[in-house]
Formats: sequence, structure tokens, C-alpha cells
Amino acid sequence: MPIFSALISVVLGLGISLLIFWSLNWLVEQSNNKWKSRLLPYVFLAPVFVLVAIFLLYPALRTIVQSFTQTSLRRGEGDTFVGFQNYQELLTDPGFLGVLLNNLLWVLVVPAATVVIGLAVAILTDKLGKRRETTFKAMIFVPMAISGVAAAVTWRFIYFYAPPGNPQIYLLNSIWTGLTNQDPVPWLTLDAGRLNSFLIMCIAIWLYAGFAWCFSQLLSRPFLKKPSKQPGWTGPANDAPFSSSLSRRFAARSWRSSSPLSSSS
Amino acid sequence: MTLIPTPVVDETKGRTTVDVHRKKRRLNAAGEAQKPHIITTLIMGAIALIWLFPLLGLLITSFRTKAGVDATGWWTVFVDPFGQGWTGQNFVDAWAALDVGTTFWNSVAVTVPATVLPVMIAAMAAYAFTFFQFRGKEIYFGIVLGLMVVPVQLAIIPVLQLFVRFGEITGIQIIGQYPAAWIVHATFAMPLAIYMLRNYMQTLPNSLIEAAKIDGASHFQIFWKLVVPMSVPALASFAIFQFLWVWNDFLVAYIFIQSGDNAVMTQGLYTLLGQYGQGWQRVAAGSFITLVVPLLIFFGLQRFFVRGLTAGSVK
Repeated sequence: MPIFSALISVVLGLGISLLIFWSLNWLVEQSNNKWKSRLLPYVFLAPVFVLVAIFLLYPALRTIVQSFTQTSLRRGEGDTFVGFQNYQELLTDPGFLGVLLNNLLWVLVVPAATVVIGLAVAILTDKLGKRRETTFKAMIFVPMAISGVAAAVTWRFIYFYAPPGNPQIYLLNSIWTGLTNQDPVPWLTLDAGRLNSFLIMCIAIWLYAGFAWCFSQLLSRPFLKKPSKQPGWTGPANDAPFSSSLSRRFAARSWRSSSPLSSSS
Repeated sequence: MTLIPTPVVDETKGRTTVDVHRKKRRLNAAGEAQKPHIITTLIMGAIALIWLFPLLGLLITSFRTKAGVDATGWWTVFVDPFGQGWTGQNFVDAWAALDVGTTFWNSVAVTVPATVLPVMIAAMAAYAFTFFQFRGKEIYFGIVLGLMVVPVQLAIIPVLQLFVRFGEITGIQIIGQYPAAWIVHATFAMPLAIYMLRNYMQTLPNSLIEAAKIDGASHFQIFWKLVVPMSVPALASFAIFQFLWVWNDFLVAYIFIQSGDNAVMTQGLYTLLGQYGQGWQRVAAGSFITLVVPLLIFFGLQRFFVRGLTAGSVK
């Protein structure tokens, strides 16, 4: 039964998207040539505009507007405009400022560390043979496939705290008590020097190092586009023979099917 | 020395050294130098081990008994592999607690459309942003890209309110159903997908598209028959990322699908996490069950998303 309902919804979801394409196509076919060329870009963009406007732009704007208002606790009563009062309260609240500082540390440390590790992996593995390169990359990028919940469970076995007297079954505290002979430390509630923040950043770095590498490959594409500007760069190795030959084949076929001229030429 | 009748040793000393020399030189020419290779391998091996280490702990824990997990750390099995029992029962328990028979299919029902939908829609938009000339193109593109900074957390309350209002007006309750998650996942994938795919499409040979136009192909034909097939590497790599994100997502599923009949696997794992009183070995086993599909996708399609990102343009 769950399989059945899942199947129905998958088919339904894909069907809806195909319907969108089909109806857009139909819409354009109906209009005359002059309008066609003018409308066409917007037809291609329409699904994105609708989604982004309703579920991205509207929530963002609404949140901004709401940040200047105070919601009435009584039902049915509208919000009242309070200007910058909410901001003032938050920015003078030491707790919130601490949170902001944590966030700042996160955006400084995590991207920097993931990019450095991702780059190091790329550079180092590049020197190795093909097999070792793929093996090491696969090992380091495995956390990309892990959900946040599973990652939390995984790191729990390292960071958690068992009170003194109990068996120290968590790695960090086991090392700590073994080395110093002191009581175990509740690492995740230890905010001296923002230690707990840094400990959790380690989890994020562990999770995202693979993404950093992937996206460095991805975002370098536009810069690799013009090889003439980079002397000594020999052009991207065409290491996707599958894709290029496939597209060439498709391209060739579409010529034959779509154009009356190609048969004669 | 002459007593051993092998041809290698029968060779003169001089020739042997020449041979070794030649071999060494050839290796140098092929792989720069031999020594840094070993160091690099060691460094990479160390990093790889550190990276796999937490997962190793999870794996070992998932096969231990409750008594073992409560008494000693998982690393003690290296010292004493058979001092305590090993069991597969955790996986049986976790399978039942996760309700895999239901949550797995719910995850599929959420993930597949939430992957295909945004890829198709974003490909269309990327096509428009690459191959059309129209007023305000760069401004629209800038807005879409700029919206990348909007985090999903910010949209949760307004979008929930929208869904509630929609339910009040039409009588169709979206919250708790798959489409709620599809819409949210598709929307928040959009900016990055459009950026990625536009980048890729810009590297496609313009002459091919121009030629197709001259031959009378409509934009829909060019899109479906030329641009989409040629963009397969980029489409595939984005689809794999999106699949992994959606499959592993907890927040959106927790808010918009919730823990009813349509609960997904991460929701099931979260529920299992709440039952930690029955032992962490069950939670560890449950984590591994949820990892199976992403790991299969990851290793099975690795070639695609690594090569897809780095693939050269069509020549």
C-alpha cells in the first residue's frame, strides 16, 4: 500500500510537470509569430517566476515587513508598526549578540576550512594514480551522502558526556579522562572560548568538505571557458566520452528529424 | 652468485645497473617523482582515515549488544574483538522502529519529484537566460541569483501560513502531503540550479543552436532535442546533488510532512532517536539503514557527478 501511494504520487508529480511544459508549449503555439518571439522567453521562465515569487520572494519580503511590526496576542487583531523596536531589543540583548558572534565564527571558519580541505584533497590526490585518487576521494566525500540526523548520531559517540563514575563510552571524554585523570567534561555545554561551537563546526566541516571540492570544480567552469586567456592551460580533458558522444548523436538525429534542409545537405 | 641459474642473475652486473637506471628514469618521466607519491599517499591516507573514523564507530556500535555499548567504548573492540557479543538484532529492531516499509516509500515519493521537477524547470529557465535576448534579462537573473541568500528557515512560517490559507479556501490540505515538500524543495533548489545550468549551457556551441534555428527548429525543439541532451552531464550532477539533499533533508520534512502516514526516513530516524532508552546500538543501526540509498546513489553515480562537473564542453 505505501508503495502504491508513493508510485501514484511520483507519477502525479512528474505528470504535473509534463503538463506544465505541454500547456506552455500549446500557449505559445496559439499566439501569432510577432508575439511568439516576444513572449517565448517569459514562457520558459514562467514556472521559475511563479515558484520563486510565491515561495521565495514573498516569504522574504513578508519577513522583512513583519520584522518592523508587533503581532497582537489577541486573535483577529492586526499587527502594529513599531519601527526599529524589534531590532533595538535584539541588538541590545547580550544573548542575541553572543549568537551573532557564533554565527560570524561559523561563516568564517566552516567555509574556509572546507575550502582548504577540499582544495588540499584535490591537489594531493591529483598527484596520485587514478585508482588511489578515486579511493581517497570516495572515502573523504562519503559524509556528503549522510543526513544531518545520522551525522548527529555519529558524532554523539565522540562528543557526549557520561558523568564521572560511569563507564566512559564516548571517545573524547575517554581520551580526556585517560590522559589527564580528571573528571569527564560536558564538551557540548562548555562555552568557554566558544569551544562547543568549534566542536560542532568540526561536524559541519566533516560533512561539507566534499561539497567544497565539488563546487570548486563547478564554479571554475566559467573561468575555464576561455582557455586563450590562460597560457599553459591545455583545456579541459574530455573525460566524459559518454556525454559528448551522446549529445553529438542526439544532435545529429534532431537535425534529421526537425529540419527539411538537412536531408539534402 | 653464479650458482643460481636464473637468467636475471646471469646477466652482467653492468647491464643490471643500466636496467635499473632506465626503469627509474621511466618512472620519473611518467609520474614526476617517486618519493612525494609516498608522502602524498600517507597524508591522504591519514585524512581519509580521520574522515571515516566517526562512521567506523557508528558501524561497530550498530553490531554490538546493548550491554556492550553501555559498558565500553566502541574502540575497545580493536583490543578485544570477541570479548563481547556481536549481534544483527539491532538492525531487525531498527528496521521495525523506523517502519522502513512505509517511510522508505514516502522518502521515494518526496525525493523523486522534488528532484525531477526543479531540474526540468531550472533547465528551461537556464535556456531562456542563455539563448534568448530580452529586456531585463540580466536583472531577472540577478534577482534569482540574489535569492540564493534566502535560507529555508526564513520561509517556513510564511509558507506554512500560505498553505493553511490555501487549505481554508480550497479545502485541500497540503501540509502533511508530498506536494508541500516538493514545492519547498523545488523552490529553494532553483537559484543554484539555474546558475549551474546556465554556466554549463553557455559553454555549448552557439553555432549549433543558430544552425538549428536557421533550419526552422522552434525553441521548444532546440531545447528538448539539442540543449537538454547536450546538458546531460550538468543536469545529472545537479540531479544527484538534489537527490542527496532532499533524501537527507530533515527540516523541511519535519515541518511540512510531519510524522503522520507520510513520514519520511529521516523523520523515522528522529523518532528512533527519541527512543534512545532502548540503547544507542538501535539508533546506530537505524542510521545505517537510512544511509543505504544515499550511499548507493553516491557510489553508483559518482562518475556522473564528478565527471559531470568537470566535463569539457562538447567539441
